[in-house]
Amino acid sequence: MASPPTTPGPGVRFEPDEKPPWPIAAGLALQYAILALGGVVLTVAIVFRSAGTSETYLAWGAFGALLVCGLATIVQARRFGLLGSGYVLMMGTSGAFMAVSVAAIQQGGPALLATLVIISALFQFLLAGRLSVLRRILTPTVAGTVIMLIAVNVMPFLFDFLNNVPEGSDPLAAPVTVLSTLLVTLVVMLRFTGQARLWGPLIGIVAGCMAGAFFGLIDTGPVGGAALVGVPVAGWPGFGFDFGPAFWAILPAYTFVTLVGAIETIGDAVGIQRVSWRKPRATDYRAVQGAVAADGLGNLLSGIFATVPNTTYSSSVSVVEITGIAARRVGICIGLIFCVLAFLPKVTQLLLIIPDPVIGAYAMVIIAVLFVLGTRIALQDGMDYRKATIIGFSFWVGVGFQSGQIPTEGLPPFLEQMLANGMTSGGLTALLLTAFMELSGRRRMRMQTMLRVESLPRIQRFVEDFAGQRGLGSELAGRLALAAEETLLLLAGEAEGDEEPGKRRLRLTARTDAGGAELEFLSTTGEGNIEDRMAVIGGHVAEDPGEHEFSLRLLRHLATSVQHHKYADTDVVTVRVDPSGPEA
Amino acid sequence: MPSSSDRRRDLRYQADETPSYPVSFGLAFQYILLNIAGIVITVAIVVRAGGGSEDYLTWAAFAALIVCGITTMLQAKPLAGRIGAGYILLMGTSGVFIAVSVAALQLGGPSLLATLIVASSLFQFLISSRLSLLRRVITPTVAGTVIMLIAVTVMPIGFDLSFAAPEGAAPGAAPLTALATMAITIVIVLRARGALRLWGSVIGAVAGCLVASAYGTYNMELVSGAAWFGVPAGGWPGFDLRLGVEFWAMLPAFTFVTLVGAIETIGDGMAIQRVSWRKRRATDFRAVQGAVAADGVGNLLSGLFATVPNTTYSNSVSIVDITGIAARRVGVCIGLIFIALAFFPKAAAVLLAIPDPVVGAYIIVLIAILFVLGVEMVAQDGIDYRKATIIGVSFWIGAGFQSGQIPSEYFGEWAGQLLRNGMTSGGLTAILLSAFMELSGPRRRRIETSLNVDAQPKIRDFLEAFASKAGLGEEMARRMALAAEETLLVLLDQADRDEALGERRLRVTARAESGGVELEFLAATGEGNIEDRMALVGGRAAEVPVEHDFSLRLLRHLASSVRHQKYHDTDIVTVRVDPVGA
Repeated sequence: MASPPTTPGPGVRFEPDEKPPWPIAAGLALQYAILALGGVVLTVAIVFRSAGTSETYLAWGAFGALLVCGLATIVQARRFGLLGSGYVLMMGTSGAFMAVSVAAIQQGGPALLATLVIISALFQFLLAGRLSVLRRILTPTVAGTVIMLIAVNVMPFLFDFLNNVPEGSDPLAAPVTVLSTLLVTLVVMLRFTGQARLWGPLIGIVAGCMAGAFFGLIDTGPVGGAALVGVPVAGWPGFGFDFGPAFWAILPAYTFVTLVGAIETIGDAVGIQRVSWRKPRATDYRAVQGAVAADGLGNLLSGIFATVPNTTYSSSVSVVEITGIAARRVGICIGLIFCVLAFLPKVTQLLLIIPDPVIGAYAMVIIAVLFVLGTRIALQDGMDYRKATIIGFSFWVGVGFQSGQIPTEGLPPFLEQMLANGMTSGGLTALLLTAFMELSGRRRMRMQTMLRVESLPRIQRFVEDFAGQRGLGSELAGRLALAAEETLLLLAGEAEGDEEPGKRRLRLTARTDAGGAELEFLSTTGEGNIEDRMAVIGGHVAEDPGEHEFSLRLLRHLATSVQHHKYADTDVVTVRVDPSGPEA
Repeated sequence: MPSSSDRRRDLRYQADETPSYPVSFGLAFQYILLNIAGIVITVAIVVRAGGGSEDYLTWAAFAALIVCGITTMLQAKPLAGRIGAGYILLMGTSGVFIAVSVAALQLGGPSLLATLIVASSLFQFLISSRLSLLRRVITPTVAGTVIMLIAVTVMPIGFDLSFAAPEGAAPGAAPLTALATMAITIVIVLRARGALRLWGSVIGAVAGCLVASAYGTYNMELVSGAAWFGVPAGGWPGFDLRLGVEFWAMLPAFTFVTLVGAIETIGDGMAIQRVSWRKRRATDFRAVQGAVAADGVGNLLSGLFATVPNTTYSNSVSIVDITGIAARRVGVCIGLIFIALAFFPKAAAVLLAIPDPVVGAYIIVLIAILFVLGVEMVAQDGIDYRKATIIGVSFWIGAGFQSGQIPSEYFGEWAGQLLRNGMTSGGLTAILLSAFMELSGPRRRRIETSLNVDAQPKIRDFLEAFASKAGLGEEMARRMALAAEETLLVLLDQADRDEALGERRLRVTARAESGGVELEFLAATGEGNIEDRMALVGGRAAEVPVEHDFSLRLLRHLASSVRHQKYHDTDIVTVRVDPVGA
């Protein structure tokens, strides 16, 4: 699920608008589909088996997941109005939803699952309209903590899977199967680069199945029994809603997962744009909104089918980067293949007979990597002891509740049920502590204006106000005002090359910190408000902003540090001014 | 990590500054308050579980306090510059030794335990002196993962202390006490500035104790029953020098546990440096070596006194981080108080009477912060998918074993016992995976020469041959050669400054790795750290240019990363050159 920087590929061979011949598109799509198939079907298997449902409902769930993922992938590629990104973004069953979905099925059956999934879809539609709201709720600190807690939530199920073999099997059956899956997956993932690495989990599954077959863990009966073509309609649980107390107890956890899922979708939607064109382009903001909306559509359909919701797979970005084929046609082919596979129960069954220890080991690796991705998001803006306290404490509160080491007995049943979910208790702790920091601390001051030299008097007044309110000494205030002036002149000078000079907007934020003051200049062109654009930029961790430093002597002399982050159409300059006599 | 370079701006006293004695002693009491229970209780657990007499227990607890006091002072003020870290690293009885110590007591009594601990301390001195050899095994990735796993092993204790109701107490007593302590401490950590920040943990503890005494769970009898002054009469068991079957049977386990303890100490030694300076510095591995050596002295003394061995307590790192005081003087004060407490049982009893939920709540907050420091350490050079895989899988394997969700029976009784400790199983996984990456990678090529200007043509020829063998592009080969030249110049400049060393050897190792090239320069020790000087070059252009500023700048431009690890006997500079635009 991580999209780390990979070695440069052969360059883009087909841009999204270009059309490779159908055979090539279909051949490539088949590869992608096989890569993602494990995740799509096995995630459903983990959820349904952990919840203890019947195998017939599982067959239906797998059918529904495949069909919905297929449709959603087509929508992502083809783009219908506001829905879809217009890029090859594979949609697959979401690992993040595993634990909450298990809880939903256990406590309220398919109807509760369907209700929660549909509500979460509505959330996504709302978010697509206003991405900045998401950023404001889920700061990197909170988002990172919640992603780390996904692992806490899911791992217990996976550990159970590791040891789940039929009674009377060889005592070595489970450990040997698990070890061979883990070892092969890890060796391929650690040692190979490029496309081979992406196949690591799949090769690991095959190796595990061979070990499992040796111990007689594979029962091919269901494959023979399944129809070649058909719809496993026997498993359809019917359609219903459930707004009982269990719904309200699980809703917070579901909301967290949905929000975090949206952050990942944003990241993928930005990432795919980066690798899809020969010449770098500005990030298309509407494509990001479309990706989130299509994600919502996927969840809506999943709810109707009473199966586990889906999200964009980040491997899409790696695959496009490695193969250099970004044509929409490929995305459409992948979707079609998923849809066709959905109607071939024999194929689905072939995946479902994979022994539990293999599935557990495979998913463990995926979720463990997701966990590290969470830590990376939490750390992305640097770290101090306050943030460390919030992240560490919230995470461990979540662990404590999830493992039952923090007792919930005395609490009212509703609270007990809600807090026992580590994601809810840990996520809420992180939210509360962050809110406490924000509300009790001295707020930042900000102003908006246009980026041109004429804005100077307003900015000077703003800096004066700020210095007065914070009681900065006159010396520091003077240097701050000078530094602000220099920066404005520099930015305005750079903006003169624009097609329409003077059309850039500028947002200036000021705050004090450890005796010094920090000014942040953010200027941008293009549609959408500044906040929303920042949400998109901040959402993608792996993005490598072109950073260069102003070389102007005066600014250097005034400020302790000057950082300039240049994004496609946004400039962020951070100037720090400390009291004189700064450390060498 | 854009702003992490200047994250410790709000440190109040860095390691080499000196706060007044009242402040130092006040702070030292906080450390003691948090750790004394662990130190004494660990000894009690070992001796009781191992079937030792009460006389021996009294002696062992007395000796443990004295040894911890001495070694904590050593860590703060290194002996001969080599034994001790030079940072606040509180030493306490080691949790990882519990299982093996109990086994030794049961097999051969206190004298066998004493002999085994002395033997294991020798192993620790060996690790300390040859730490540079372990650099490829104990990378920041491994050390950081181990620190994250410390949290996994210690947290259950914290939860247990916080929420397990003492016998006969009201049902809400423990959770409410813990909650009050946590809430007040966290609010102070997040918001307080100045002196309030310093005393935050004391205020939290007092609040917790008040809640506890409202429920009547503060144990006054313990205090009133203790003597004012006392030295345990007898109890020292002597040595078992027969080195019988029991000794040899237990030695491998003790050696392994010592290694685990040393890895933890290495992790702490690296982590404490991150929080002890306002401006971030390159990790000084000499301090890490010193920390391990002082740990060895601690074990040696513990063995001589026949008590349970000690190790660095990781929560020191968190306390430095939240109080903002990293001054060495505090470490010395801690040591003095430990020794004083050994002789005044009543004073120790006051601290030991602090209710479990208060101590537990603290452990939770502090270890949670330590966990994040571990995360920061693994992330310091950026996380790619390989590292993410190693870290994630190792961490969760450790967590699985610790919680018992991964059954350890398959591995036999002895190994199962060891693996059940999450730090051991997860740390081993991380080491194995890193070693696999190291061993299965393309082979290194090396050249040995002496460190002087004449070496330059030799190195150039060597790198040319390497570039053509590895099939590097012309552009890469050129940049690599330039980077090597600049590194050599910088090293030579350093060598000029300490002429006393005379002839120095240089070993250059080259290796192609996922598209880029890694060059490693290994030379006998000099003064000054290139990494620190590079940071200076990048940070403020207003600096007076030093002579080799130009080389450093060029190096910064050519290489994607430069690491300089300093050990007592060696300098190792690793330069990584990547293809343009990667």
